[in-house]
Amino acid sequence: MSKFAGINNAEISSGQAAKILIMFAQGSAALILPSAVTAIAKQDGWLSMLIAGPFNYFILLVYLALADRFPNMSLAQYAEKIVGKWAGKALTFIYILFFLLLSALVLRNISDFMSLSVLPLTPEWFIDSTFMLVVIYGVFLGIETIARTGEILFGWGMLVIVIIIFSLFNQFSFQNFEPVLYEGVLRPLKGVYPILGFPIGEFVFITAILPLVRKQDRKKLRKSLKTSVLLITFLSVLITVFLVGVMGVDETSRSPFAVYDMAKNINIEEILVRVEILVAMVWIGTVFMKLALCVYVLAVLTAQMLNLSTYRTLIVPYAFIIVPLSLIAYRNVAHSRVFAMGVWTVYSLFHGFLLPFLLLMIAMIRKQRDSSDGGFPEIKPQKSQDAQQTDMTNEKIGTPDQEPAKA
Amino acid sequence: MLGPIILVLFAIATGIVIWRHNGGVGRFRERGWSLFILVIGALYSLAILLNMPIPNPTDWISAVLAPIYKPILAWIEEGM
Repeated sequence: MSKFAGINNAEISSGQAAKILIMFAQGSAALILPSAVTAIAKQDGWLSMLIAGPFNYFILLVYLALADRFPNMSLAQYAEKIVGKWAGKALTFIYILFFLLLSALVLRNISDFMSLSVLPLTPEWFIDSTFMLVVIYGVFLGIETIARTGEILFGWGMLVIVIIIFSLFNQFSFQNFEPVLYEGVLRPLKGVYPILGFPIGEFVFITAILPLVRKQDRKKLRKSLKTSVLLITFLSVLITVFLVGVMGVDETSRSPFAVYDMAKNINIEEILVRVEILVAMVWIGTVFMKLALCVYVLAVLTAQMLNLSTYRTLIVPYAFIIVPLSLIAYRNVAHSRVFAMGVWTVYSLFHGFLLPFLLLMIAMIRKQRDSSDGGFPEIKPQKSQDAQQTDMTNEKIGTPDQEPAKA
Repeated sequence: MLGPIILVLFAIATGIVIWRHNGGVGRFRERGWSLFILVIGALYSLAILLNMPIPNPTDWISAVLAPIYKPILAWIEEGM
């Protein structure tokens, strides 16, 4: 393996791509989303989560159809092929703004959570900056490292969910679900609205990850992503069912971080108590994954739009924008909830569904396909000064298998 | 006043690293764009630290998308 392997044109497996998708979906959404859905759909919130599953898969189908036509290119690259160079660059710029804001909002989620629940006296800018330092390092190491981190965190996340679920069985009450569908199917359907934007519309990040999936793994990709959609839906339903079953509708819809508050209820014979910090740890891990992926995609799209040879030099400069943006993005937690659950869905679906769908339609009408490589230019190891000098001497006197240069 | 000074110093240090590293390997285009984004970010941070009136992107988006999302929200909140 060369010294520069994995820096730019890294490869991941289809399983890693699926786990990345799951971590992205669970990051920030798992803690915040169920309360918003329960506020709309009440005790039928779990049905909203279930209904959102097919939407989830449909959006992924659009990305997969684009990836079938342009297997080695990211959204920034095939947008230029489909709608022309400058229109494609303009489209990529729109996505750059989207991922810039998304990164800031995800960072704000974590600082809100930390300052409200775990570190109330620590200033938000300090939480943001320290968290961003870790993210910068992760993104700097590349997608392979992010994917491997995701694999580790995925295992821990599943373990914590299982611990929480088993520990809360004794407090679960089926009466909290009654009456089922008391206002018909309309209420659960309305509950799907926040899920469409958060996280389904945000899945557009995967368009920059799909070309990095190993070529021999591409056949398994569709199956892996289908499994990940099933798992995302199952986990969302499970979390919502337990939230309503343990805390009831009112408490769930009022709580800003419902899963964290639910974990506070765990008490098994005074032996297993205060395990909510486990939730916090796993949630910080999933949010790290989501933020790292957002910053990675942001830097990669920018580098591809500007025809740069590497994305890594853009990471720290972008951190200078993301941190202050996260500080002013929301005035308070209430504003964040109104924006995330009301405005964000429309904004996110525009980027996550409408634009990719239009690109796909245009590509289908024009019958465009291109399997050329859209990766970054190869980075070759620089020769040392001694080696360069030897080369120059060889050029002058001619190498052993060459004729000496004529005067 | 300590915050802005630290920020400016940190931005200058980052700029020097970007300048030297990219210049050393002949990536002048990368250096230019990185420094451009860095300057925007540093100015943005500085403006916030000095309490200057900064437009909030979430307010912009809310205002632009109001004709679309407000009717949807009204429909969702109907009967709640």
